[in-house]
Amino acid sequence: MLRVREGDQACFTLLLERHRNAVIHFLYRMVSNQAVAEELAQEVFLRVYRCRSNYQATAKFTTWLFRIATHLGLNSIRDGRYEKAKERLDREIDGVTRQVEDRRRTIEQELLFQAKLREVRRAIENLPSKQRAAVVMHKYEELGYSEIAGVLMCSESAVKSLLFRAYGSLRLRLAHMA
Amino acid sequence: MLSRRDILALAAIGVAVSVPAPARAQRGRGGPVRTAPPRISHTEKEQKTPIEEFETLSPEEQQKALNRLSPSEREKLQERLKRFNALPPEQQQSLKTLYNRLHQLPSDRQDAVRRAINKFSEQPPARQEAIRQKLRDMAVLTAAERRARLASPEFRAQFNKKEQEILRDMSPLLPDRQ
Amino acid sequence: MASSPETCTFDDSVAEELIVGYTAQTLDPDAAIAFERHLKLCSRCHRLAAQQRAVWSALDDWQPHVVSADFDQRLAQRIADSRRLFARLCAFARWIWRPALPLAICAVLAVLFLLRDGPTGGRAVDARSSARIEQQVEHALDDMDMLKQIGEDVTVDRTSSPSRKI
Repeated sequence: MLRVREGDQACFTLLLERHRNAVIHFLYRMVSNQAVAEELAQEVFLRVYRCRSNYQATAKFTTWLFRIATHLGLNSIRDGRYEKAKERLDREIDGVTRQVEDRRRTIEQELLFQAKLREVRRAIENLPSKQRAAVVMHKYEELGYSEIAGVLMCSESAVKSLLFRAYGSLRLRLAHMA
Repeated sequence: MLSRRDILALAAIGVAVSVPAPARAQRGRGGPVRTAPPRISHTEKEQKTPIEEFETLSPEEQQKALNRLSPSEREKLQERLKRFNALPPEQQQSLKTLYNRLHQLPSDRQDAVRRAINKFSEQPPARQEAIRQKLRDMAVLTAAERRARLASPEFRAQFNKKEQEILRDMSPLLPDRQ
Repeated sequence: MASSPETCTFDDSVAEELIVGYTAQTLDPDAAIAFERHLKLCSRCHRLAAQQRAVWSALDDWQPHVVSADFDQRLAQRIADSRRLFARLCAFARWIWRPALPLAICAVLAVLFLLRDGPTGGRAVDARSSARIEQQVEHALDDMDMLKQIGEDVTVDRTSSPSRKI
């Protein structure tokens, strides 16, 4: 990122290559819509590009990147763009766009799997937005407590509190899937 | 039909009004713009926190604000407010003082303080207590005396590099003494 | 296996952290082995760990979609568009700055005059900030939680008069 700050375009391409998927996947799990996630991810990298001359290496680059992504994801949820995307949730699963089917499953198993997936997505969506962000970063991006605290700009103990409350709620909703 | 003078005047007003907007993208926290920092004439104890501002709203306005949150977020916020208000008055006052000191700082210094507190929370309990004791010792010093203390060989011998950074970054939270 | 919760040697928050760490496989090897031994003895932790594993496995099933093939190309286009827009704005600013400068100064002064604090010293919550007051309250509570760690006695200005009640 320091080389990007100095004007090295090739390094920006490299950064994008390295972090694009992680950012999109994170935003996808925040807003449950691939198109919105990609749009937000575009905005994330546009901001990284625009702010490149002001970049200071005071924190890890990924912390800064996920801070921007979290900010945009939380705003999107609050602005209700997420609500419109949620309307399409069932159609997306039942209709054309679906997680890649595993050809080893029977049709019945596939239906059960998709129903389970719906339940997982709903359970995540029902979490308060900050808890959701913490869980997605912890579970899917494998960030540690201190890094999540850096992204959410709160203390590590606040992160643990967010996460443990979130996992407690998820256990109530999803533990029957054992 | 607008004359060239009218167009120029409108453009100038547009430029003037949009002047404070840039660089908000790099603010540390995802969330709304905070209210303006307090005037110099207000003491730390007099300046109201958002919690106090909220509690001065009428019950209808409070409910209107809370209704903008999802039910689970609303419940969580109410629970947190209840816990905060249940703290002893002295503790609430102390937290309010610290909060106001934090928010009088420029936003990049605020971020530095938050990062320092994150790092502080990662230290072993014994070192946390040593850091707290040093903060108590420095609380009665003037700003110049604090700077001298932080630069002294005794200080460097007592604390490792990380702890020194934590103390330096947290020192803006100490009482302002001339 | 012991069935009474009183046999659990960990308090709730520590147990929760261990359960989450154990499921996520982030505990160090010694801690993981010690916790496994604990799970054999503590029914509460055993049950919670089983539930957490179920949650973990369920969350694993939620795989993301494939990223659009033209994502990078669209981003490059947006960057190029924003550069062109910026260049056009600069050209426009160069064209109008002379006549606009005195007008801009007057407009800035007018805006500052209108936004200055009134006699109440900014106590009233204006319409825009009241629209976000619940979010400000949440952030303030986050900051208070964080600041609690420092300890209240650090804030005391021992040379000042006794603190006023809130």
